Formats: sequence, C-alpha cells, structure tokens
Amino acid sequence: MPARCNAVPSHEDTIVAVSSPPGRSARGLIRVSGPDVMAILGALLDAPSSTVEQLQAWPAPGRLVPCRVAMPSADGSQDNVLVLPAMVAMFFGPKSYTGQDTFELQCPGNPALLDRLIRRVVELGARLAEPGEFTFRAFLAGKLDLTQAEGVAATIAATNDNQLQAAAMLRQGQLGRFADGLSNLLADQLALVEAGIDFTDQDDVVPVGPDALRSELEALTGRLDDLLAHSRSWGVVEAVPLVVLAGAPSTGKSTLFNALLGKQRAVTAACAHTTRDVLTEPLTLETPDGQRCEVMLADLAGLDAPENLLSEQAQTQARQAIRQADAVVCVSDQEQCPDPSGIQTPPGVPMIRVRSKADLVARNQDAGSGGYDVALSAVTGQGLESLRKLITQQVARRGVNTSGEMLALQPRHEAALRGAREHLATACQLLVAQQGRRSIRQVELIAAVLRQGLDALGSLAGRLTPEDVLGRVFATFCIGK
Amino acid sequence: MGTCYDVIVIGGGHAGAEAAWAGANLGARTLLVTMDPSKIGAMSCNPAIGGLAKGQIVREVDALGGLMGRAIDATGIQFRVLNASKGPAVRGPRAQADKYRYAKEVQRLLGTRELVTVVAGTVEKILTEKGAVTGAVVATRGGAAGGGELQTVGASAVVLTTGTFMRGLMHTGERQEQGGRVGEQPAVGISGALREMGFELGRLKTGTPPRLAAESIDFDALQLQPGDDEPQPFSDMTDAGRFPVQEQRPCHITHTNAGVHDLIRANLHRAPMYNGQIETTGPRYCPSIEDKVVRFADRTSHHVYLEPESLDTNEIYCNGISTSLPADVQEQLVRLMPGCERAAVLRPGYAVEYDMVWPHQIDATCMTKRVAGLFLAGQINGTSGYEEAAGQGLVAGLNAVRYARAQEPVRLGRDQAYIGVMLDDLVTKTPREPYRMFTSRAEYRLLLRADNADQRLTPLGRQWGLVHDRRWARFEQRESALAQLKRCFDEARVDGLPMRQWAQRPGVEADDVLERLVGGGEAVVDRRLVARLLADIQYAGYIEREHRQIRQMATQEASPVPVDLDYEHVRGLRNEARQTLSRFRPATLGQAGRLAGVTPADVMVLSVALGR
Repeated sequence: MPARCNAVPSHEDTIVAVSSPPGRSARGLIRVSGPDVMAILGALLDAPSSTVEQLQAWPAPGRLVPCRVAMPSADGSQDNVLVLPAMVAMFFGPKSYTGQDTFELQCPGNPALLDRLIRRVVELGARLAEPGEFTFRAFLAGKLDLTQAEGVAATIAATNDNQLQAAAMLRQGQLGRFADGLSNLLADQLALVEAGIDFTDQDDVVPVGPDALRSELEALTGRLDDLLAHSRSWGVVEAVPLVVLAGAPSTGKSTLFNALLGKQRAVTAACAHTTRDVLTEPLTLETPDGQRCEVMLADLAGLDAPENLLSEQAQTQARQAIRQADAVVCVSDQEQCPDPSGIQTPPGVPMIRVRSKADLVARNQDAGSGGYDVALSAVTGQGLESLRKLITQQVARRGVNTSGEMLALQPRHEAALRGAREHLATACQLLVAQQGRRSIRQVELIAAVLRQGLDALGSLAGRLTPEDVLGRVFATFCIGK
Repeated sequence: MGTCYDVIVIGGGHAGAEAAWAGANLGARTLLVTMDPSKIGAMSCNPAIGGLAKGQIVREVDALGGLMGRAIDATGIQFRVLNASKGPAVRGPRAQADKYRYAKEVQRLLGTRELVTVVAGTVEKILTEKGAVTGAVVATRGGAAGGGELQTVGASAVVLTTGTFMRGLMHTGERQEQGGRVGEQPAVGISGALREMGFELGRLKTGTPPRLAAESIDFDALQLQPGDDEPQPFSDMTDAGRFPVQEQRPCHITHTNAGVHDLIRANLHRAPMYNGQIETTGPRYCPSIEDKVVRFADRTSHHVYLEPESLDTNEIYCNGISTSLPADVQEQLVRLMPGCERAAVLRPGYAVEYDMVWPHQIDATCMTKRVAGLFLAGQINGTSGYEEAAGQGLVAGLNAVRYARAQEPVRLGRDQAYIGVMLDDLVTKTPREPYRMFTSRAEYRLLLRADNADQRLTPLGRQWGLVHDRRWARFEQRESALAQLKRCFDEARVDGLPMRQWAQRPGVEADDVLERLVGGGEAVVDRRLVARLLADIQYAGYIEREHRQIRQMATQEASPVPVDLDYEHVRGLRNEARQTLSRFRPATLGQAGRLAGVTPADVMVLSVALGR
C-alpha cells in the first residue's frame, strides 16, 4: 500500500458535528461550518425559498430562528419525509467562531434524530469534522491567541487519545474483526492484481484473470451485503425509544400524555382536534429489576378523515410519527377495542391497546375486557401503573431483538462498508465485460478501485490507513470544540 | 585540481555522475572525486536501464535535463517496453546496454562540461565548521609518485555517493574479499568519518549473478527474447531518425531445474546467506537463487535470462541466479541449465555487504539534517538500482548548487514524480531492505507516467536552471503539437462520435487514432503525443479524483517544519508521536503526516504549535 497522508484536514471542506453531549438530552445541537454552509442549509430546510430569503436578510448573527428541517427517508422516497421543528442560528464569516460561515441547528436531543440529521448534512456535501477541528479553524482564522491555541492542542490531544482507545476497542469487536478479515482478503486480491502489474518481468508470476478475480470480489461483496442486511444504524439502536399515543380524536390521548408525565404539557380539551402538532417529552420508567428506562413519549393528533388542509397536515405528521415509533399506545374510549388496522404500525412494532376514561365506565362492567390490554383513568390514576409496566416490557423486548441479532453501525462504519462495497462493485463491473479473457484489461484501473475499497475498509479496521480511520472515528465523538 | 569548488561530488556511479552533470548544467564549479575515473558510469550488476517504474524514473531524470536517458539511448542494444499490453501508466521502458559503451558515453557527456573536474582519489575527511560543510580532504591517486597526496579542497557543498563501496565486503562461498566491486578497493575511512559526525549507519546486502562466456553457450537451443520491433528512445533529446544507434541484440531464456535445486540444497552449508557468514538482509524482490530454492521449495524451475553485456566482449549476464555460493558450485550449477551444458564462468556471482546511512537523517532534498551542505544519494540512502541512484543524484546535485547559492532547496512531490515518491518514502520510513521503486508505491500512479514525464517536470527543470535552451525548445514544440492534436480530437469524428468520446473506449490505442488522423489527411503526428493524449482521455475520471486529493493535501504538503524543532516542548503531542517526530525530524507537515505513529490530530497539534 502506498503511503496515504495523515492530512491536516482541508479547511476548504464544510464540516459537521454534533456539539451537544452524547446520549439523550433535552436539546441536540448540530454545528456546520465551511464554504458550503448556505447551500446545505438551503437544501436542508423545508420551504427553503422563504427561509433563504430570510437568510439573506438575517436579522442578527447568532439569533435563534424557528425553522423546519426536511429529511427524506433513507430510501430516498419523497412521500416519507420527516419534517422536524428546529431552531437555527446563523453566524457569518469572518466574524464567526471559525472565521467561516457557520450555522447551528437545535433540535430535540434524540440520538436517532441527530444521527439522521448528520447523515443528511453529509449527504448534502459536508464531511464529519475531526476532533477539535472547529477550534482548529478558529485558530487558522486568527481568532485565538497562542495561549488559547495551546488549550486547543490539549483538547485535540485528549480527544485523539480517547478516539485511539475507541478505535482499538472497535478492532477487538465483532465489526472490527469482520472488517479486518475482509480487508485482509481484499488485500490478498489487490496483491494478486499488483503482482500482475509490477512483477510481470519477474520470475514465475502468473497474473490473476478477470473471472477468477471477479468471483473472489463477488464473494467479498456478498459478505458485505450480508453484514449490511443484518445491521442497523447505531443511532436507532442507541436511541431513546419513541412511544406514541395514537387513536381517534377526543379519546383522551393528551390527558393520558399529561398523566404519564405528571405535568400539564399538552393542552387538553373535550373538543376534537385539540392536538395538532406532534408533542414529544422524555419519560423515565422503571423496569421490574429497578433499572431506569428512558422513552420519548409523543402525543399525536387524533386520526380520522381530514376535514381541511390544516388537519390533513396534522394527520400526515401523526402517521409519520407512527412509522418512526418503537411502540404504539393505541387509545380508545369505546367499549370494544376498535380494529387497530387503521393505525398502520410498521411490522414488528408492538401495540398496547388502552381503554381510556375507565372512570366513566359503570362499575359492573369489566373495564379490562373488550380486547384491551389495560383500562385506565387519567383522572383517578387507575391503570396508569399497569400501562407503565407494559410500555417498559415492550420497549425492553425491542432492545433484545435488535442487539441480539444485529450489528449496530455508527455512521462512519456504515459509510466505510458502503464505500468499500461500491468500490468492489465498480471493480466487478469493469471485470464483467472481460469474461473469458486470460488477462485483465485496464488492470491499473481495477487496482485503483480496489485500493480505494481497501482504504475504505482499512479505515474501519484501523489497519491499512490509520489516518482515514481516525478521521472517521472522530465523527462519533463530541468534537465541536 | 583547483582548491575551491562550489560542489564536490564523491563517487562516480549513477548517482555521482548525475549529481556532477546537474551541478555543471547549473553553472557550478564541480569536482568529481572517484577512485577510478575509467569506471564512471559503470554498471556493476545488471547491464540494463529502466524497467517497470524504473523506466518512469529514467524518463523523469531526462525531463529534468539528466544524462541517463541520453546515455542509454546512445548505447542500448535492445529496447523493449515492459507491460506493453497493459495501460499506459504501468508501461515501463527498458533497455539492455552495452555496459562498456554506456560508461564511456557517460564519461564522454561529462567531458563536454568544462565545469566538471574529474580527479582520481578518495575523500578522507569532510570538513565542517559550525555544522556546515566547508570542504573535503582528498587523497589523490596515481600521479608521478604512484602514491597519493592529501589536498584540502574548499566547497560549499559535498554530495556523497558511496554505492557498495563503504566498508564493502564481497562473499563468494567461504571466500571473503574487501571491496565495492570485483578488483576494486573499498572505501574504509568514510564510514568512521560519518559516525564521528554523529550519523547512524546501517548495513545492507545485495548480490550479483555469474557472468558466462557467450561462445560456451548453445543459444540455438534456447528461446529467443528480442526487443521491440519499433524501439522507443528514453530521451526527449534523442532523434528518432538516428535511433537505435547500436546494433540490436536479443536475449535468451533458459531455466533452472530439479537438478540445479538439488545441487543448491546440498551446498547450502557453503552459502554465506545460510551459514551465518552474512547476517544483513538483502532485497526480497531480488532474491538469490539459493533464497528462491529454499523459500519456494515446491517450485522445480525458475526462469533465467541470458543478457549480453556488450557488443565488444563475450560476457553474458545470468539474470535470475544471483548467488554467493562458492565458485565451484556456481560452475556446476550453470552447467545443469539447458543450453549452458558447456558454459564457462567468466566471473562468479557474489554477495556484497556495505554500509549505508539510515535515510531518516536526510531530507527529501537529499541534504542531511545534521550537517548543512552535506548531501547523500544512491545506495548510501538504502536504495538499490541505477535509476533510483540517478534520480537521487540529480536532486542532490541540484540542491547542492542551490544550497551553495543560498537558494531555497526544492523537493519533488509524490504527485509530481516517482523521484518524489522515492525520496518521500526514504525520509518517512525505515527501510528493511534495499529500496526499489515499484509502480504500486505511487498513489498517483495514473498521473506519473513515462509518456508525460516531460510535461510534469521539464517546466520545473527549466525554472530551476537544469533545462537548457535546446531541450526547452523541443519541449515547447511538443506542447504546441499537443495543443493542435487536442483540437483535432475535439473536432474530428469517428464512427459517428466526436473523436474524444470515441477515444474513451477501452482498447483504443495510439495506432487506431493515428490511422484515423492520417486517413483524415492530417499532417504527420508524433505517435508518443497521441499515446499521451489518449492516456489522459482514458484515465480522465480517475485522474480528476487524484487531482482532488492532491489539492486537499497541498497546503499541508508545503508547510515547512523547522528541522531543529524541540518536540519535547510541543504541548499536546502524544508520546509515540513525540518520539517518532524527534527521530525523523520531518521537514514539512506533509512528511510528518506520513510517519507511522503520527495521527492527524498530532499533525494538527504540531500545526498549532507552529502557529499555522
């Protein structure tokens, strides 16, 4: 392998990082800085034209302005766009911290959400920042004096140490072993290819043929596909589970929401369609063995036939939230539990059927019957404890399902595997046209592509290109400063 | 011999010759000190120039006004492009030389430079003052008294190219002999002098095969390996019309067999490599025949190429059976090979051990970090090969003159030349074996081609003063021809497609283009220019990616780091990085980033400490 350089990252790139502490917190903060900031922000926002206009005449640098972030689903389909309320603050260079145009985006501190947001910003052309890179840019822009710069050096060094440790741990893990094994196999193939280039004038070198190479590469691609198919993104696994309250209008979802939280968060009223936006609040539950368990509880608009554009929007949002949910609490005040097929939960997502307003039910009636899992009254508090337990159980089961069978991928892991896969596919494409030939045509291009694939994998295993690895390891840590 | 020069070059091998040539081309008064001036430009081992990756280096040396390409064009007896069936980036021009005519041509060319003074002798001491070179003490040879005399010569810079001569020790079986080449004395004093100056020395090993008498070989029984039908010269200064200059000769191919391998196994106890007589490591890419037999025990045959060494002598070089077995075993061995049953060994092969200076002690300019004005080039830096030596010699000569004139030193980047890749590798890695260039060492392989060497380097050479008017005029001529050719590509249509687009198809070769162009009534077009343009077109997407990478690295690549930086006081560096940086003392942030054990974060910390 040729020497790849441990580059001081180019400040021509636009960089992004999560700036809030890792894990769940009330507010998540994402910081983006660099020459492409305006273009990225424009593409990120829902209704960009009006926002871009606003951006042109931004009132005051650093002032938080409400906005809506549009995130297409992973499959890129337009009909599954997650629209997220957020706050954005713009800082223009050269007066910003980094000396470059910068924006900060505040959103709910859900790791899954931040994860998606980061991916989206990367999709739009930014790259993940290295540790201390924002501060490094500030230094380059002459914003810091030498004493401050020494502090920066210390910060970079400390994060670097942490990340080297993290990289070492990764290498010992399942994913690291996989990548290691794969990059060894790939390196073997590349070696065969290079031998056919650099050593044809030497003794006894039989260059690998296109068919043999392709079948090896396809096997490697298959292994990558397998792994990707059995993986979930880390953000999803690590995320606080989203539990949504769904049901027809005026079934008492918001009342239940407030009761579970123990505070008046949602506006409640007897009339239908009181709730229009998706309201989310963190809720701490306790598992039977005394462990604390965090969930994000969401109150949705009631589901029924939309009457106007406004309620149609509310409905769309509610249905989107249900698609994102890890557990759905289906609320009804009817005697018989309504057919829950109206609530389209994704396959495998548990549903808890709740009969609300149990205090209104005549005593002689069995509140638990009618196909419900639990009957409760937010007024008397009856059944609340049972619901808490049910939620805890379902959410805990979900945790087992994911971590037991699947490998959790952080964004940089996934980027590496997909990158490697793409390069392998390119090589196979070049080879497929050469079927039956004895020697490989355009062998130097095959080598170039395989080398890129190896670089991608090597970054994951931390073996073949240490600099690349570290660059991406950095992305998973709090590196805003 | 005068008493004051700009540059003293010590050693007249391929590094020394190129350094002296560069010095003179820059207008510097240059003294070349060598034990035997009749051996200047001698080919101690393989009588060939170029090959895979090495051919690219020869083209680069030529593009920078060097002499290697011109010398081989004038004296080559077989020209062949290796990997001709593969893509342009990995084709390597190679030539067999008449090794005596080659050396004579090098000597003749140096003789055309009045600024070069050649003197027979050795350098006993390099003089320094306050850590900088002030001259050397030269012991001249021969003369009236036959003995030597010591003379102090002043110079601002010294280029040291010791080859295999520094405490050279040759092994042929049990027989050991001091010397750098058969029949030539070793250089003994210089090792100690370097140690005294504080340099860390190492020891490497290389080997050479036996030479056979041509008349004792039955060539008719052997497979023929001819040169290319249309031989291509290396140098841009060579006129195609008068090329090739020499009568062309084929090589022949024979092979070892089970009998040869059994003989070697039976005599391993007499092989210095295996009985403990030699402990230093030789190159893995060029193993001795005993190494091949031991390490690849399952193979029953290896190719052996019989290469003529000269049109004037009967010497045949046995490429493939480098060995240090005893002479009697070598004789039996060669006679077991087909066509060699009655072969007479003119000179047995041998292994040679020699001192070198660990190359982390030089910068990519070839100047040592410890002593200003002292430059090292060739095997002393742990490399192997004439071409590698020539590339370093050129850089050393150039920078020696620049140093003498108080000009900024220059380095070639990894993206500019194989020479740059080589020097960067040397100063950022610790070689475990003699360093040889391979195309796979170059991350920008698609850019660093033999066909575009002049485009990459001749303008730089011109700027640095290495490229004189005649070469420059030819370069400009080619550039304008290329511009015209590009217009043709943009305007002409082939098979209903614009020619540029048609040319992107894999498998389209220069001849296909020429056919179309000439058929279209175009003027005579240089085939090599067509090939170059074709390569650029066919690699376009990949090259664009390489350019992007280069741009991203550019700032860091060029940021200087003081060689005397006190890494102990750089806050925030990890210990491992601190140690590595203190040992290697990188000259740029780019070099720092390529050191094993230095992370990007370390480079950032370093960059902060330097105030950038």
